[in-house]
Amino acid sequence: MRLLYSFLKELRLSTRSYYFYLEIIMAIIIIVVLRYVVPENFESSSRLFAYVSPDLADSISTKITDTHTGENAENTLILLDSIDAVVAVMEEDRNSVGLTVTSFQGSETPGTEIEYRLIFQGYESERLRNIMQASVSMIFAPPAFTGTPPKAAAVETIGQRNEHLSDRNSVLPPVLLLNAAFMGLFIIAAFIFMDKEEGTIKAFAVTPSHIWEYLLGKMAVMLLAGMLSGLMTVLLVAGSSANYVLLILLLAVSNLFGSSLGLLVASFFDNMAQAMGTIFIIIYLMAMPAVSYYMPAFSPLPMRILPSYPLLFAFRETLLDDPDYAMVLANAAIFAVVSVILFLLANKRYKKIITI
Amino acid sequence: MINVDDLWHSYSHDKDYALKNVSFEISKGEALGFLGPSGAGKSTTQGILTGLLPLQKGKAVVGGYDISKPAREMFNRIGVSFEQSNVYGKLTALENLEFYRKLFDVPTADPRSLLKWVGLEKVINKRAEEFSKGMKHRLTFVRSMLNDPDIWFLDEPTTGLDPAIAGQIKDIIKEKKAGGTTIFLTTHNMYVADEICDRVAFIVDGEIKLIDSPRNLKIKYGERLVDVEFIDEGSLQQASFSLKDEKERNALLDVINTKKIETMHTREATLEQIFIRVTGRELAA
Ligand SMILES: Nc1ncnc2c1ncn2[C@@H]1O[C@H](COP(=O)(O)OP(=O)(O)OP(=O)(O)O)[C@@H](O)[C@H]1O
Ligand SMILES: [Mg+2]
Repeated sequence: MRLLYSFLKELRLSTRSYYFYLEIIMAIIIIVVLRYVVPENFESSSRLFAYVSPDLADSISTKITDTHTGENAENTLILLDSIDAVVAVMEEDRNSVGLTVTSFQGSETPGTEIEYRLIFQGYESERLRNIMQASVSMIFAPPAFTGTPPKAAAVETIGQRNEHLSDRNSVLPPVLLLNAAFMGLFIIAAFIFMDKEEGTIKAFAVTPSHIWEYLLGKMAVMLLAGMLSGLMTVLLVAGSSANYVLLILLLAVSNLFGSSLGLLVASFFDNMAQAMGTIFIIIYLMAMPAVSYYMPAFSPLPMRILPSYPLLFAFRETLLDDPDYAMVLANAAIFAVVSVILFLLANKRYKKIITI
Repeated sequence: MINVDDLWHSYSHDKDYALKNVSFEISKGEALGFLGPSGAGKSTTQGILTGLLPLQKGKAVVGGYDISKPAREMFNRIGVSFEQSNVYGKLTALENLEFYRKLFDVPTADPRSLLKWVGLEKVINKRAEEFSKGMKHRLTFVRSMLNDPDIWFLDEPTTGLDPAIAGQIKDIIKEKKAGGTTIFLTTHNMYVADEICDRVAFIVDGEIKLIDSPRNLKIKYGERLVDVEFIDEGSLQQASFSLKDEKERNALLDVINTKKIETMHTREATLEQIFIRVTGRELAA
């Protein structure tokens, strides 16, 4: 019961301060930008790694090279020596597409009939695939191409799962993590410092209430604001394509993680000015894995051990049509445990600092 | 109700003590005033007794609860008014009290009548951030009465208030005391101590110099003076005579017998004068 009143009081306090709206306003700005400014998919000028089998007539390989480096120069074409080399290079450059052109195996006149394959990473958008396919098939279409039309064309991916997010939706995980989870870290600290400055924390300390009731009341407000802004963002940007059960779960645990960390951090400082540096470093570090998120090839260990790294990928899962439940649930469980530990530590700290 | 024995406290955890060997007791329904200059250790003592500061050395029992391991329920019986107002600026006067009363497990007083008591009834729905210093102070003060405490800690309850409001606050404290509330009050205002407290403790540099009732102190340390205005050779003269000194007593008799007395008043030494005599320090310092 007291917890409920504590929550109601914190809610009233926070709705009267601008910090609370900071999170909601940020969410609105993000929604507007994503919906009306960011295209659903970026025009990607990815690199095209190609292998042209040497047993093909010279004319064909010249043709491919000419066509592709000519008008269609949007994608840079890089010729490699083997199919394996193409795949290997593609695994390094996650923004690339592969093409192999070999002579058709069942041909009676080897070297004249060809077959080609397009190799994708697995997370390209449908649109990009179509563009690539169209542009490659153009190469082999008359009148530019005078040889026998390709006998076989295939599309394959090197990724395990064929799941992908639209470019717009793939912006969501970092946004959710930052706005819904880590803004809470900053804002809850700001609220603690307001209470410290007003001395109301002392007034609370001379009542029969427990400090955990006070802290939980604050966290509940952060949770409400985080869920509100997070759900609003996903609902208006991704719509029905998200898995809301997993999303709500993940938003909740990452929010609790952020706010319990915020409580703990704030307990070591007297005011915002002192804490600012530390809080910024933490938020900055937490934002770093976004780089790996966009460039999976760059995932050094220091990046992967940051808590925001698994959370980012878990958020990504919740937006997929066929999310990896086990992965999301495991992350939720781990962060729930971590949050509880952080909260207990914070509770211990506040019991102590309140008496100083 | 309150037993304090050999209390020591150092903020820096070294030999620099803010409190040294502080011992006193307050019986049920009694009001004890801590009188001392700024920095004497008054708030530090209150801080320890209300659990806001850790008990470092010594023993303290408040309302039967050992302060070295304070139980939360102790605070149902305790009221604390702070030297520096600490209310939520973003909440109205009424909201501040409404939320605060929910923190107790015991029946609480009606916030509206409390606010009326200290003259805040007109600003009941105004946010405390718009209050003057005195208004915030009164709000902090009445908040400490919400749970109708039987032990009441008042840190400088009248400091910084205009005389009329200070008078009101003193009346409220006296009324509560008459109702049996045990009071620990700190002040550097001798009138407040004199008027409200059954006993006062003189505290300087973290040490209690003496504890006694204002009346006893005045009898023991005060010299009673008689101020006389009389006509001497056609002009108005003024003189003060100490009743303690035999020569002065005789001089006074001489004036009474030979001169025309215009006015005559006896004057008691103030607590402040006694404080200066006992501690060698001024209260205002
Ligand atoms: N938080 C603190 N940290 C370090 N020293 C402190 C702290 N609070 C008080 N002191 C020191 O302890 C001593 C006693 O301070 P205290 O506040 O108890 O005095 P006081 O009698 O209440 O004075 P005042 O009349 O100004 O309120 C002073 O020397 C003061 O400087
Ligand atoms: Mg003080």
